[in-house]
Amino acid sequence: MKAGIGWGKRAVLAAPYGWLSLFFLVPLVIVGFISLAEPRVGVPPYEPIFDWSGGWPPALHASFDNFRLLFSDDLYVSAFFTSLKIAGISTLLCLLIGYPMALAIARAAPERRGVLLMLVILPFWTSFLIRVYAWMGILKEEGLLNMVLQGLGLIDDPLVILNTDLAVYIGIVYSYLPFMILPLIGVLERQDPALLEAAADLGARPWKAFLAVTLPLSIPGIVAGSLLVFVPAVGEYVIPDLLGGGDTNMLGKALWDVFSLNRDWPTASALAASMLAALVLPLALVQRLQRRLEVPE
Amino acid sequence: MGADLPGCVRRRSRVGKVRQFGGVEAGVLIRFERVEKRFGAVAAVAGIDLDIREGEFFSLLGPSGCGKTTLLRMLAGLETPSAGRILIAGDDMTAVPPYARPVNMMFQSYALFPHMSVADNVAFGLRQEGKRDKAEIKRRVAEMLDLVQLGGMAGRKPHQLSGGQRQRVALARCLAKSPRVVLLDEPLAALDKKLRQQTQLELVRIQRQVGITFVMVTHDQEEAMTMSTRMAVMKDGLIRQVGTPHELYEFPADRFVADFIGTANFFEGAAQGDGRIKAEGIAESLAIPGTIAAGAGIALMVRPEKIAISRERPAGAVNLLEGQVAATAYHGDVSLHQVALASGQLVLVTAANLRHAAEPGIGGGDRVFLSWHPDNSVVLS
Repeated sequence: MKAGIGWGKRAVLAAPYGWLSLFFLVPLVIVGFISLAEPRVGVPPYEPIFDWSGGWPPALHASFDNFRLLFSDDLYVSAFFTSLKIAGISTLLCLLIGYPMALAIARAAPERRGVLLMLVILPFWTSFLIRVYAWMGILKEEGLLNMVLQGLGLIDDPLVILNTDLAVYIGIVYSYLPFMILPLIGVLERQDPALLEAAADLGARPWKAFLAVTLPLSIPGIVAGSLLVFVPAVGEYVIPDLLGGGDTNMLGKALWDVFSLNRDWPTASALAASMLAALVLPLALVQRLQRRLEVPE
Repeated sequence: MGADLPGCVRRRSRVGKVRQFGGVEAGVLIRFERVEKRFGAVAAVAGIDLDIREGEFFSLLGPSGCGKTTLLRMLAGLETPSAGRILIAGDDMTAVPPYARPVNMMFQSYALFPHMSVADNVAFGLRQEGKRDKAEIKRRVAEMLDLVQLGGMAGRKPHQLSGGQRQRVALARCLAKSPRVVLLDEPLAALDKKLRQQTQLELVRIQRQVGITFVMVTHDQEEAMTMSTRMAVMKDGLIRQVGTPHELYEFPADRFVADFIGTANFFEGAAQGDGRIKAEGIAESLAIPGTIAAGAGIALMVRPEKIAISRERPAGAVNLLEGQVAATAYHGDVSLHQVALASGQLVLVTAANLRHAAEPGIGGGDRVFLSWHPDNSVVLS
């Protein structure tokens, strides 16, 4: 089939590839080069990698010192594991909250499904930043949540949630829940309702029918939703910065600090490149697994 | 009916022991009592009383929207009746959920679990019982796959099978638990014509072999007649007639049944009280079987193959009509003639091509004579 691709088709295929190389691959390569450079005070804040002063061939000033620094500094290593932990737990929470919601929407009467779907997407119409700020208003000590709980007499002293890891979890789960729900609705809606009827007919109680039929057939949606939540959550910067405390040490925040406060572009680039490498490999594995699990109709 | 398969443990109803019920005569396995099902303002099933006997291959036949599938789904427990009761083996099943009924269904789409192998699909029901050991389940699955001639396919996934093979996996899956009743929802609709005819006989063979009561829903009267021991013709949520294929074809209760089962010619008219009717547009009165009080408006029904057709005027014929062949369809074994009477009414006549003749015989444009003996006609009110 590949041999049969004509010039017209090639031209059409070239467009997305061209777009990706221009806006994804080229910046990635630039980041890669900067990560190998030596930091300096100036504009740009790194030594050029190729030194042309000696004419051809140019002298190469590249080293893995920046990477070495990352792995020798506890700050970055712990930021990496904290990010994985927070993203992982948030993904799990999104799945636990999102799955029942997706199931309910997928099984709702068609005329109600549109409204429910709309409610899931509605938050996107407001700026992400503003919604996170709104959570600050809800979670702070004299905020909405504490006012309500104290008003009901459920607590005496205000709960300290803002500027803790808990607030980060709340923020991430709230922000990324739709990315979990939407792919799940996609797979659940496509399931033939006769399959569940067949399971019940063959003697499976509703709970067992769910475990034996609905759940395994929705694995592609679980994987897709988890990736859509986990990957951006690992690199999340805004939520830990606004809702997290001083000790919430996530990669995105560390990256920002190195990049803009220290103006250390090479170390920041090395951090970004390491993060990418650490995520791409498991992702590729998961996608391969998913392709094996997917059942052709 | 036939003996159980070796190793096939007849499962008792979970709801109670099998027993004869007051008022349910021996041999009746399934009883519908004034069963209704309304969806909003629409009555899909509008009050049905029906007995189905142990070991029968029973068909629910009717045009789409007649309520036959709803009736079947209520028997499976997938729909709840709005009124009435459903008994299986004397036990009231009306409120019993589908997973606790001694009934297994073969779905029109087959509803095979796409993520499970053929063997796991067939084993699914057995595993839900929780009391069988692995070796027993494995043996039972192999036995079922042999029964439907899919012995080598145990490891395949449903998407790797042809339509006919999937259909047989679905059958094996609903036989595996040895239910009291197997329900078939348009079991052959997804197969092509040739395969459908083979499978009809195959299904009947398997039903005889396992001795389980089968209830089938179909809109195809030929299929119902080929396979069923008895059948019910339904229309608008009601049963119009129940009987053997022979009874329904030869003695239809009304015009709808006569028209739905096979092909029928109708002669509308008024009874004269002397064993004859005056049919509309026909000069001479027609002899009918029996006598009906004068004045009653009736329809005389005659099947196409029961009318004799000839170019020459037959001697001593009772009901003799003259007409002109409007069209002829040559089917090889039989020829189908459409004969226009003087009134313009078209009469269908089937004539067996009994002789190996060089000439095609009666054809379009020929003047012909039609006749039939009164005993070969049926009076419908």
